[in-house]
Amino acid sequence: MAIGGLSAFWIALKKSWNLFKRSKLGLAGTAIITVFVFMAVFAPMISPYSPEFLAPDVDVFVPASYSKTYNTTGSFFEPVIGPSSPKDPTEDDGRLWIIVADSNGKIVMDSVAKNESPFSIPGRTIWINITDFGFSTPLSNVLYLVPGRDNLGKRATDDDLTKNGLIGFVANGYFVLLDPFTKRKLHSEYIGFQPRWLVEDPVSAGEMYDFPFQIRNDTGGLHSDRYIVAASDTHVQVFSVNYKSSQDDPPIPQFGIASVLSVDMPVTAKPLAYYLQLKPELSGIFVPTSNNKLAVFTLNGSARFDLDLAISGEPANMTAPIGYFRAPEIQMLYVPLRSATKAAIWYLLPRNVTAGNLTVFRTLTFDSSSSAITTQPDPGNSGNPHFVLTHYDAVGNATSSDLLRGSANGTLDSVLNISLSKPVRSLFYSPTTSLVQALDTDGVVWSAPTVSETRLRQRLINFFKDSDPLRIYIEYMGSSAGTKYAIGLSSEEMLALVFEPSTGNMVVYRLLGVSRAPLPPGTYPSGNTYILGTDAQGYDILTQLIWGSRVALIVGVLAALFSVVIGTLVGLVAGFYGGFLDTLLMRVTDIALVLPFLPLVLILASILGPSIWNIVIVIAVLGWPGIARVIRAQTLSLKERPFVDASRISGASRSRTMVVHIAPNVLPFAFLYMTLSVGGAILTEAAVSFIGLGDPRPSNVSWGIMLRTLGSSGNTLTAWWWLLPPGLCITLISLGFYLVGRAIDDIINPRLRER
Amino acid sequence: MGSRIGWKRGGVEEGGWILFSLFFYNMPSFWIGLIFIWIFAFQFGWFPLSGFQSANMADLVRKFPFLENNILARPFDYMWHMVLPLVVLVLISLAGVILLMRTSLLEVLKEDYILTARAKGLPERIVRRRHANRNAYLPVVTSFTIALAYSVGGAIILEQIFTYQGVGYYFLQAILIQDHFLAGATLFILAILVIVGNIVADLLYAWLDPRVRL
Repeated sequence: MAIGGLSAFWIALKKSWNLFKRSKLGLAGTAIITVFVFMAVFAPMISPYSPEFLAPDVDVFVPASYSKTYNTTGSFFEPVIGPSSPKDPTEDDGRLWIIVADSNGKIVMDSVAKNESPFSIPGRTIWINITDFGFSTPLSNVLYLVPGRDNLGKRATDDDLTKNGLIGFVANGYFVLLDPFTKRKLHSEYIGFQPRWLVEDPVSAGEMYDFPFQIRNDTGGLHSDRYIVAASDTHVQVFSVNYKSSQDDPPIPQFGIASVLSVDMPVTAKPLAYYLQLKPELSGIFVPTSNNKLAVFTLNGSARFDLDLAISGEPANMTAPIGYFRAPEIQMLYVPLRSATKAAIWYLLPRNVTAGNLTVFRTLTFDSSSSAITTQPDPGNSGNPHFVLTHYDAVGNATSSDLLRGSANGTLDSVLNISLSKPVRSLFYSPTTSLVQALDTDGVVWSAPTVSETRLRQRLINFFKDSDPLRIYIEYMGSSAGTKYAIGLSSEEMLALVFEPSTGNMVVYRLLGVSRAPLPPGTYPSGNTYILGTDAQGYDILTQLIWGSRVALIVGVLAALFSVVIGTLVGLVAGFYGGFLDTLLMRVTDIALVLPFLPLVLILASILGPSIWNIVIVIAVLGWPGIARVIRAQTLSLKERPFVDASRISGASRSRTMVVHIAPNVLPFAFLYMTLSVGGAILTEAAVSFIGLGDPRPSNVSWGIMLRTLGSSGNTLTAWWWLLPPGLCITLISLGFYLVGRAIDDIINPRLRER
Repeated sequence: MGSRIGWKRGGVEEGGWILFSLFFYNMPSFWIGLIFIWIFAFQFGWFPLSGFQSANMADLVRKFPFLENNILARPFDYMWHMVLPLVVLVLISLAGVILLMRTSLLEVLKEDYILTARAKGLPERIVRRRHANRNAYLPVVTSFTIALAYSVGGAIILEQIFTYQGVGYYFLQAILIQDHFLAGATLFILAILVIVGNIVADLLYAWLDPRVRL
């Protein structure tokens, strides 16, 4: 019986196929569907890239840089970045100042603001000649003291000294503080020596996440001091600069400066004034000194503690400035060291500097006798502290270096581990982009991500193709909002600069370059060919197209299948049993039939959430009424046929009659309507995705989503290679199913066949 | 159109129209909207890119100098903005109607009364208009009621594409910002529109087919 049924089925199928073959359009439809099914099944094999593939940065990004040359006969110091000074009170976020000083006593301040190309507006530059203020060369490097903010985080807007940032320098033995914007001298004091290092605490320099506090009345525990350290090889002088207001009403702004420490001692490397306004007991002045020691002074200079710099008992020297975290909540310092046989990084905890309690908490050791390490804190202000370091052979002729990342538990993590072919001159970490950028001795800037997500750039980029070995200094410029390390910067704001002190050449560049995507079809510098180009993020269009056929077929076929199952059941039951059940089911069907289909789908999809399975369910649940009607009509006519009477007479139950005798006869119709509704389901899915309720995962990219991203990226009118293919595919696949449906229709309704 | 190609079987004209209809019938409305904007509004600049009126009448006058101080400037502006969305919507609905009309006419032509009409010597024109077309319209009108519901859906998306601030536009905004009250209210308006459309279709049906009594 089973075999007989099967062979009968086989014969019927053959017969249908012979009929089907006569319909040219049907064959064309089958061909189209076959192509798409092939694409869907073999997507991993035939797509040129994986769906997560992003075009490499070499293809997508072009450098965007702005350059300027400062003409002078002298040589320059490294530039200082001064975040935010409200020179123009209407500009709420102020400007980002680039301060360059030369050895002839000239100080140049150029600025960058939001939505403005650097160096583009003439007349913004501030020139200061120290001889105008009665000072003479030699000039030390220049400091910038960022404007403070009051307790509420607002910038003080009164005409007080906190309104503008200040610059500080030492000229021929005089320590000077100037307001460069009003050209006022605030303080000058003879200190009797010309410092080799002039440094300020990181908060005052705008290097931390927090602003310097600016309090009106010195009540409570806040200390609104700034600390400035001037150090020559033999002398250390520390000033505390104090912005306060008097107790008068209204308070009169007061500016105070006091010498807290002046001591003769050998200084071997750049000191650090580590000062946390809220935790002065953890703050101190760190001065590397002779005999492999690190001298730590308390803030008021009253006590000194010496730490022996050593790696496993071997005396060591500092190889770079001390690193610190940019978030004041994490008080940990990094001391890069090198001994005769080893290199290491100390994790130094200033538990209580006033009590002399400093602990070397951990040591990260490199067993390489001749390596140098420079650190750069990764300012994770969350509970995930890291720092970035570079590691290379500084004794021999270094031919390579490594970019590494250390974590708080004293190990290197695998997120960043990159070898460069040249030693790194300087590097920085930009928190908003999670990028480490490093300048090597060839003058090439390398960029590497520290987050291993698919969306981020995995390859290094070379911004400066015409590598100029003279550009030797790189610095993160960051935000103009008062501290460099603000969050939520736009890519236009994320700038860095490269400077060459001996010639005065400066290049300001965008950290991320400028994206050229969507890329038109073609072959690109990386050697990749994008047959249909890429989208705005760098995803390959052809790959998306091929993978999109999967989603289209899954959604189309499943949704059609489910709606046909529901529709057939409802139609069968309503038609066969008749009576009240029929009336009820058909009224429900009528109501469902006139409801606006797409709006309902959209509402349900929005409630259920973005996933292709939800879309399938929604389309199926709303798509059955038409089918139910047709099946019911068919059932009604079948019910009156003699074979139904015959089965009833032979004693079959009503349900058996329905299932065994009527259902097989309506199945061809169900199949026909399924074929016809696949196209509709695919169109609906595309529309839902296009509206923005589709499945956003890259592996589930559908043609509707492609058009959606096209629309939201704003390239609709320019990227024809992105606009045309998805729509054509939707049209073709839907056409394919429609044509097959029509051909089947011709077979099932022989009456139409002669046409 | 459908009746025309149904009447004259075979030939390039029929094939062309069928291909045209099949293509548009299976096209996503939003995509063809985008294509039309791209071609006619962006490449050729014949029509506005979006909106239902010009933000600035001076711009409009610059483009159409004869509208200066013309009382019809505003209505012309509305029409001008309506052209592209309307054409797209019509094209998409048209395709389905052509296909259905053709099929339906072919059915009708086999009926005995057509044979009778021809046999009694009526001119082909009369047979086609009075006997064939009139009966072939019936399924088309039926499908119109169903198509109306779908067409409203298509219009929603087109309003989005053309930034044409109609009910559909607000409906979509409401959905995307999860404002279900606004979405419900706009859906209600859309549903009423569909129901009104259905009533009109029923009246039309009664007029076309005297056997149907309201």
